[in-house]
Amino acid sequence: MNKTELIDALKEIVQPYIQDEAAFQNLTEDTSFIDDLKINSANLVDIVLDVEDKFDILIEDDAMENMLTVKGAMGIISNKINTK
Amino acid sequence: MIGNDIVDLQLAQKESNWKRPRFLQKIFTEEEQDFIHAAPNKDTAVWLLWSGKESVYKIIARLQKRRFFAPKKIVFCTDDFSRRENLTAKVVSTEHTFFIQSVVTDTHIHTIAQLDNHKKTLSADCFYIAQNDYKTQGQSTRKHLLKNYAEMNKLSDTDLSIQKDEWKIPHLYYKNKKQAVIISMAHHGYYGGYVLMMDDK
Repeated sequence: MNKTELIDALKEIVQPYIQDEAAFQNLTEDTSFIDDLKINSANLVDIVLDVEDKFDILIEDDAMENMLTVKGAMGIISNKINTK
Repeated sequence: MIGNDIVDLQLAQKESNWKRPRFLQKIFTEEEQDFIHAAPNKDTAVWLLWSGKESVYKIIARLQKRRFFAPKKIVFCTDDFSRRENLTAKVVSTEHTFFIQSVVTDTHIHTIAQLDNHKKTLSADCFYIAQNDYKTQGQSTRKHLLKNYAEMNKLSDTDLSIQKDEWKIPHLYYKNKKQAVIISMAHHGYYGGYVLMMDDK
């Protein structure tokens, strides 16, 4: 899976939780889930679970710490997929 | 140091399915999960503990100037779990102890966490906001806080403003001069709230 495919997959996962449509349309690697997309922090848990289901990976508590930005999420997923 | 959080219980029920597999395990310790499962109202128990963790997180993020998502690193002391309503709990996270107070109603939960238990001047409020869109909520919460601060200090609220720094931490300014007050704001659904503490260090 290349970078663009990864971002597209992430976009699909976060879309149900966003509250700022414009920020979502302009999503980049630096986009913050909470500050930019205005995702409710409780929904970060759903994003973690959705990512686990979609990529068939298990995200440990320590890795979960970075699940705050697109870049952070991409890092977590790439690490997990590569060590599979 | 202080932090606060709001949960609109009706919206939380709509937005989050905490019964979803692995949801509780990602956020809560075994003891915390036991408390939730034993609670007369499990929904309220979930959001009571969640709001406590969020309030404490806001303090830690401010102290350490970093953002992270690690709800399980903030752990409630189980000794306090007998006090369910208007809970005052102690939270342990690395070296710090936090004091947490919640006001629980049928519609919402407003939680305030405090790092030290000194008697400092605190002022907090929680209010209904007729519109639940993100922007109106934020603006309305700011307005409530500024109005309160203006009245307390006999200032004109048109001279007051709130600006966020690079860590997204809000600060209160009077005529562009940073004020010695720590503020924390929160909103969710139809409810907004804030707490402010005079920073007399």
